[in-house]
Amino acid sequence: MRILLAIAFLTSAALLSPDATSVSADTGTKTEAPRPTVQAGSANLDIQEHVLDNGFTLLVLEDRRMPRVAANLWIRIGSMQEPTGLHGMTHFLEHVIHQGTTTVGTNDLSAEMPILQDIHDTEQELIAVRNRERNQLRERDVFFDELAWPGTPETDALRERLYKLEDQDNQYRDFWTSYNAYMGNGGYARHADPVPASTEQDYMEINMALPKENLELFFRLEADRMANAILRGWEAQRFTVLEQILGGQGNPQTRFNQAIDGVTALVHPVYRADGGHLRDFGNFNRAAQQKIYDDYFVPNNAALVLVGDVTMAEAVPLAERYFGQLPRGPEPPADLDVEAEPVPGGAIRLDWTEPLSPQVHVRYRIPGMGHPDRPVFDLIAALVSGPHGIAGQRLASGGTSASVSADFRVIHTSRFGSPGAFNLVARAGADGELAAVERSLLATVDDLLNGRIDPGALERAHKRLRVEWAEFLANPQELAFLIGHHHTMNNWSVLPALVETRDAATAEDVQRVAQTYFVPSNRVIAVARAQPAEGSGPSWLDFVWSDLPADGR
Amino acid sequence: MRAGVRCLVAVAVFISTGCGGGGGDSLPGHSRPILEHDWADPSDLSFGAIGFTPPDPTAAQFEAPSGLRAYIVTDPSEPLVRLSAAIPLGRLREGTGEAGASALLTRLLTTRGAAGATRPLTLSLAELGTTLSVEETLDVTKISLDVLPEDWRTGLELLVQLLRNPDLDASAVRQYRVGAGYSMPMSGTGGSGFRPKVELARVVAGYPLAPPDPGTTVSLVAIRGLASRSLAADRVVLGVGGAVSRSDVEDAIESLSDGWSTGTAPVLGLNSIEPNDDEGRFHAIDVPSLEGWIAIGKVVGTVPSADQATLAVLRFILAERLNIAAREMRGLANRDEFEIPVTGSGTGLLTVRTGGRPEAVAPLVRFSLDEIERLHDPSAPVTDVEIKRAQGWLVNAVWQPTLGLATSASVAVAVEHARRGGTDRLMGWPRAVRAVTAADVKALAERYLDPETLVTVVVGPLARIREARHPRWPIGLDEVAASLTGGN
Repeated sequence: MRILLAIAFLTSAALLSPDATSVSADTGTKTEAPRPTVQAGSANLDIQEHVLDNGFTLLVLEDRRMPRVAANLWIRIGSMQEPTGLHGMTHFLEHVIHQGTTTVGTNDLSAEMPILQDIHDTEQELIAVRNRERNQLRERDVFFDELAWPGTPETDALRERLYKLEDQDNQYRDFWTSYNAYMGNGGYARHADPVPASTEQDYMEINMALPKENLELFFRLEADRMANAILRGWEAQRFTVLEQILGGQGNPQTRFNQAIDGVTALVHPVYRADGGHLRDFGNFNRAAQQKIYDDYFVPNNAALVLVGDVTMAEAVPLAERYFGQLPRGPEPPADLDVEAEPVPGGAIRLDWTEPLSPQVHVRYRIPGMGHPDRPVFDLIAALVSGPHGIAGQRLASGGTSASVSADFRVIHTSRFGSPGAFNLVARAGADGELAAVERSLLATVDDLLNGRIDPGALERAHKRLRVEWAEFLANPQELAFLIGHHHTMNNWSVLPALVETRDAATAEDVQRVAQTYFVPSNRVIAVARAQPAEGSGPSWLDFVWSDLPADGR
Repeated sequence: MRAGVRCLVAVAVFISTGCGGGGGDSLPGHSRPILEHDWADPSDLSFGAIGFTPPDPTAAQFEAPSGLRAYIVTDPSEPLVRLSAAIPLGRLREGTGEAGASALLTRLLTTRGAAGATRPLTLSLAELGTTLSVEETLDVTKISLDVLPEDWRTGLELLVQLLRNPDLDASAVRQYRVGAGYSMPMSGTGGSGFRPKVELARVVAGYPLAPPDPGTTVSLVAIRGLASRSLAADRVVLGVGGAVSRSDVEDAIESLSDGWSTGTAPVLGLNSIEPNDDEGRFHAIDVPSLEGWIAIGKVVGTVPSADQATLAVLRFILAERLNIAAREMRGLANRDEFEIPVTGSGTGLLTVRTGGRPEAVAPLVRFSLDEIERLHDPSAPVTDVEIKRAQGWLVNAVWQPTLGLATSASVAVAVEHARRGGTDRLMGWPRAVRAVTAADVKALAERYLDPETLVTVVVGPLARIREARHPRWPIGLDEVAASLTGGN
């Protein structure tokens, strides 16, 4: 058993004392020895790390403010490792691994097994038929209905058989077993969904905050899910997940954002929709998911983060009892992390032709978490955002009513080990303001390049980052997520280093970074209008799209 | 160890045809063997008693000479301070001629800053590195901000001045028009702007359950009248939680509220929303959209205190059943939820909310109503397992975290006081929830969820929805509508 040393990033007085606190019923105050006020801006993370013999990593951050523990399991797999044509499959896998295991979610596993075998065999046959008839299944139209999944009579029949087999299996199922176990034992997740998990470009995470007394439940359920998940209810889940994607597609802003992601780089999977494309849902198959599961759901590719009223001494025995039983697997390949390849020749401009609230996006490709320049971008985002940031000041002086913000969103996620994006976004009051808004945003960039940085705005930006960091420290679930994400991208130590570097960043650092990255050949400008000059013409949304048949056709 | 034995038996019965790697049986299609273990079934795990003691609201309470009340919950280990104001403000607080005034007053408070302020509110907030968070319900509006411990005094002063000296700019009031009350486009069933729910509220009760009609204006008299009642010193309840010194906060509140008038006219509070006359059980609204969205429900009047815990348990159980029926078993929707009112008296809307692609809409209505009807089926009882699960969640997943941190506790008790005039219900909630039985839930369902009294609203591309037929559950929308209206 290897134990790695705890590394305390305490640049000021400890935020989180290991001493027990008690809540006085008489005074409404938590009583403990007085401690210095938190020095905001310091990372204040005392993360302990322990690695089991099988490579499973345990990260513990003690927080005794409340007798609960935020548990967050991380698997290093995401949409960036998906083959073309199967986009969104990993996110879908996240849903189906929550349908039970060999010991959870079943009333009679021995009765299920022959059905599961039949499902496997039928799907193999379906894959073989699709391979053989692929010329009939290829899309031919330029303007196509993404929900019209092509099929043949034979594929239709096989799909119908799969539905019936799953109906048979349903009679042996106990639905929502793990979720119900969590709920009944006082668990709640980061977002209200019976699948307490998320999948993005470079991770899958499963989270639950539980009363500390019930923490073992997480170990029991999640170790089992990593080892023995059964992809039950696969067909129903496929449509459930499809509904999530459709919901996003129904929002015109989502479509615009996706288009910006689509043009940002010639080839980089980070900019590809992690929820997948509607058409690909017709291609999904269990066999491909099982391969991902067998290759990547191994303990040496996983980390568990615990933030709350728990010590490493308490967590290790639980980890050994459950996750320690999982055999180490071959090292799964990481995503091929290459630099985003911009379109040769210079800046990209996207003029969106679907009506949308008037807005201008100025995007620059930036390096990922762990790169020494990355922390300064956090400061730049805070510096330019809001009515009193330097972009807001430019817009006001230009006489526009636009509001401005900056973020790092690519698809849904804001931080990557891979290269990502810095987005400067202004929402105008009217189409007529757009030219002035764009000029103001580019003038803002010019301000950064030339070091014209208002000291007041810089001070406010630093303050904003300190408050934001304090908000993370105050919220165990969000903090567990942040730690886990950084560990999955690189190593958790990147996080406190990031916080300290950006807290120390100066106007000169801002200028240096801007001069490196905020250049035209690294830029995308996207503009949308309430009344575009010409319509987009027929698109798949304009077609009468077919009913969604259950047979996948 | 039941589960472990079961696993081994299954492995013995099963004949593997999977790719099979390295010995041991595999699940079909997998390359690695099943992990054999002796772990207990999750339901057999036994845990220690949950040791949580909430802060004592009585001890946390402070009342300034002005009448301003605050709940101060200190914890020096908190990295920030949460400052909140719970205001008796919402549509149920509006009087005659004041329709729309609550939303406008909230907007004025949170965008204009205090009257006579020398700097914009946005700049003051930016200097604190924070933003205002606003949550509006029918009877309480909460405004809060998080600040660093070193800034609590500045933040508190900002908040108190906003409430004490609101900038009721006449020009802003005159320009204001009530909006649609819902968000378009709809994507997902969450949020207060879910159009089917807003339309349902309009149908079953109208204003004040539903927003006032779009375009409604609000008079300055209305704004001033509402402000005089809701923003008085003895009406607002502050919450201060985090790394602060109690005595310092008390001193500050006393100083900041000195001279702040108490209310003269009483705060209004409509306890029971009355339903409209029968407007029909099915309504459809044509909106271009990729999907169709659904709300099914009714308005309820006052819910007696004795019923409120039971209603919360019922909510949990029905929401679970709806999701399993619609999402897990059939893949018709991403969510199929059931909501109950969040008001002091319990009055408001009971709503099922869901939605999906066109061919899923009619089946969703049908199966959602089926689950409600199942609650009344004597041969399909609410089980003790469901009750226990609901209780565990309500107490340990909702109530406990609400009061677990100084920051969240200060807000929770402030809101509770503004809503109900005290915190007895909040602090007695675990006892009330644990006392609920399956018989109670069934009886409550009979009283509150008679399927014959529910109204269904569908919003979406009606032509497509009407012609669509799900290949597995080919139920048509017109067929569902006819079953609800008797063909009328």
